[in-house]
Amino acid sequence: MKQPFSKTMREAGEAFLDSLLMKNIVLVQAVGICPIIAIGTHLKYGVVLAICTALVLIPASLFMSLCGEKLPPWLRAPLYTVGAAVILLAAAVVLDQAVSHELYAVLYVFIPLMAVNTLVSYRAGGFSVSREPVVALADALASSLGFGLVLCAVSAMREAAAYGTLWDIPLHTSLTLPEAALPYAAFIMLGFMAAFLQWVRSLVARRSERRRERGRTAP
Amino acid sequence: MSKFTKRGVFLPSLKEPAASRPIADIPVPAQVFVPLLAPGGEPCRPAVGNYETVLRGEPLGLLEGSGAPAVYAPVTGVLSDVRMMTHPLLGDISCAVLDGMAGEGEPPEKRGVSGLTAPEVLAAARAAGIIDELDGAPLADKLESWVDTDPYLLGADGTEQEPYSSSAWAVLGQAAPEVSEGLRLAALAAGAIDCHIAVRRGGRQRRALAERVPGRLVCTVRRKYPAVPEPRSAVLPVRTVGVQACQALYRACAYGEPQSRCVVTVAGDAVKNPQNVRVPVGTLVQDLLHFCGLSQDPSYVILGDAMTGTAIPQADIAVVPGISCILALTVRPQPKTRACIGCGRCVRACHADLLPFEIMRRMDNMQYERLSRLLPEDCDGCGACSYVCPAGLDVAAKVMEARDAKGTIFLKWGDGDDL
Amino acid sequence: MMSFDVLVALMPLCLCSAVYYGARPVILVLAGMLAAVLCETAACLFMKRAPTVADGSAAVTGGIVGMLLPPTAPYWMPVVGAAFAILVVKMPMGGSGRNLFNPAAAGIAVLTLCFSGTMFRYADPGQNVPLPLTGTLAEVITKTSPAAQLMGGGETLYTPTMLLLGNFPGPIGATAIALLAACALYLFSRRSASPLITLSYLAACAGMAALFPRVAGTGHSVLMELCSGYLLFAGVFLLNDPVTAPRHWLGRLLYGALAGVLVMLLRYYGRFEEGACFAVLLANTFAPAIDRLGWYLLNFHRIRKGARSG
Repeated sequence: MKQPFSKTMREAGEAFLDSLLMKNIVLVQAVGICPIIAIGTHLKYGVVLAICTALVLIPASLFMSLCGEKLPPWLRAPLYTVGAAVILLAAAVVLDQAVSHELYAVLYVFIPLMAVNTLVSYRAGGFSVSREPVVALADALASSLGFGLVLCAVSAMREAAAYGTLWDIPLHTSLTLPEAALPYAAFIMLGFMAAFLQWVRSLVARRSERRRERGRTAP
Repeated sequence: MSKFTKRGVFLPSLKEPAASRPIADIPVPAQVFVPLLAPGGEPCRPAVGNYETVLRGEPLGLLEGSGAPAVYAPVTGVLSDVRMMTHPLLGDISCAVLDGMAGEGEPPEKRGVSGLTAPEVLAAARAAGIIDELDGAPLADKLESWVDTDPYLLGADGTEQEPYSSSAWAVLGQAAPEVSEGLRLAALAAGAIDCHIAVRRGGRQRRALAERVPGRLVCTVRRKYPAVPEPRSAVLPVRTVGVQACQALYRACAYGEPQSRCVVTVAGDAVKNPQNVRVPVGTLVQDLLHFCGLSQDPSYVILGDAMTGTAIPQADIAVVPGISCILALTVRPQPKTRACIGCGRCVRACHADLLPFEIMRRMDNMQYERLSRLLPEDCDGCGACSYVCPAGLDVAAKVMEARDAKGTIFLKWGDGDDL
Repeated sequence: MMSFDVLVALMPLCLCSAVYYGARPVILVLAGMLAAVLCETAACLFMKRAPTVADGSAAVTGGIVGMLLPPTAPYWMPVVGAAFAILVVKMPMGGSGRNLFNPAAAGIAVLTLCFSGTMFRYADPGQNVPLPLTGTLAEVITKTSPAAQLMGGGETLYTPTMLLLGNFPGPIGATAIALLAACALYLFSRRSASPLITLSYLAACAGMAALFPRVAGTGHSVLMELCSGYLLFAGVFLLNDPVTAPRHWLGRLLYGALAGVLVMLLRYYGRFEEGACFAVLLANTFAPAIDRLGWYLLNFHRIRKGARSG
């Protein structure tokens, strides 16, 4: 079944906006919380992790949307997991050799673990199958961006609160709370961010409702 | 059963002075509004034309289909109108308006009741259109459904657990032998192992009855509300019928008389003379209140007793069997409400062993999916949870809403988000 | 009113600590109460709701946070703890009656995590702790508390009489064991606390202490474990918070036992000498499930019958 290109593009745009903001993959759909809680304590770690996620998610989503329906369901998960693991191993080697050994020393456990993150299996294995490649690509991009945004925000806040630094640059704050690096602080931050997003969503919903009302009464 | 005895609440007794006064007979009211409704709920058509006179006890309504008499005139009077009325217990019904006047039908002839068989008793109950005042259901149907079930005891419920009502006590005090005989007939018809009159443990009510109804066992119940009648030395379950229904059954068998009167307790702080009144079916509540006298203008009139009654907006409601108490109150006993903090008093009070606070929380949060797992249909609406709630919430109303909604609101609720 | 019963029960404990330490503990408790009430009012105004301060639950929360601080705590500590309890734990969940976690336990937990040095710096009773607004209170004599001695595995110095009278270093309101027991009896008689929860909690603690003693002698171990730290205080005031505790009797029994086992495990393997607030929070997470579980266990046949017929 082929649908017109303009409709596909509109669908892709909607998927992008939804996954990035309105149905943010972390804050609304509550997927991929584990890496944020565990390693989102420095902005640097957050950025590396967000890049790794994008590296894995975009090819996996594209691949699944192109040939996901031709594969039997039991084969899909092993395929994209193995593929993701290969990409992540390569990324880890690049990180170690070309970027920074210290970062690698901290993150070497967590980067390969991203291969079995629910984020990948949920978007690539669930959403992308049976979608157009453009839509899948838009969704993968937006999902990685949305995940990266939340991850970086939480990491930055926790780094500033716990160590008084940002991207390892001292902020010269008088009070530091080392306990902000503990998991519970990340849970509380995520909870408040999710509540804020729900508030924004309710505002938007109310406004669109009002606009619809006006549209119904005006003509 | 013994598990239930620990639960429940202690209620204050506000029965005096009505309980110690004799039953008063109301003079024939100017107009009575008789619901043209057979005991089973089928609609009827009037048996006589407009402006024709019917004597007390003569047929007034005939079944739409078969034409069998189903409603009898409670007073002698002239049929002046048939009009639709809204009744809080029966819904929208057509009522026959009788302009009452003095005069009686022929005095009925007494027959022996000792030789009656079970089908004859059931037929008499059905013909007399007896309604059980405990739940408003036809007595004959109730008794018939109990035939051939597991062994049980039949009890006439003379406990009067609620704060104000004392009509069953009044009937027992006046006509205990008739009630006792009617109970025997009911037990015969329903195939019960034995029958008892259930009254409260201790108290003069029980001592008086033990003398007046020799041989008929008096089983006692505990004092906590709501009480499950429990004979002292038996393990059988007890099923209850109303005291007034027992008396009506006896009179139907012995005199062939239809049920046309009921005894109603009129009480509350706006009533001048609280008392038990015997009224013809169809008398308006306002006539009844007028008869007992109002010391001040009532803010609320409650049909039924304080725990289970419903407030009615106007007093032009016909009294029907099933109403055994009418309260006229000046202030509504309602404290300021707060949020539920989950103190668990309703769980301790609930004699059906439910979690009322949880049912209420799920109703408020619109979490209907697994509401039926909390068994709201086991609630019998006793109102004990609302009574004990320190936050002043009407827990019982929510639980009953869940019970009555049965399957209709248990839809999956969502905001259209395909998460 | 339940909250007011709890406030009444907190008062003698507060006065008792005033006898041991002077006026400072009273000021700390009052600061916690005031902060909690103000925070709740502000949050209600922000959420555009009618203020719920009148039910007294905020004052109880702030009071309990103050009661579990050491007498040497700086004045901002109860304020921070109460503000966290109200603004992060209680109000975002929907306010009075809807919070999943006990706010006071959460406030104390956060203070314990963030300022563990100050939180366990207990003063020796019988001295007048000075009242400066700032400063380090360096001249106050501090001592190792019984809980810390148990954790260190050393000999304990405190006799049963000292423990019952509260004559040992510990939190402001949690040391006078005999007084605590009297407050518990008062709350039981007013039905503001459930003896089922408290007794099953204490039984579980005593069982763990008897089976795995940290000091010589079973009886001595049980006594020391139950009387040290704020184990008993948590059992009476924190676990019995009506909002977060189960409502059904079987659920209450299970909940108390679970909390007791968690407290002792946290003492044995935890980082701090006293982990009762964490145990309460952990037990809170299980409370709704335990409540449902207890009821389902007792009514299993009814639910099955209902499912079959309906």
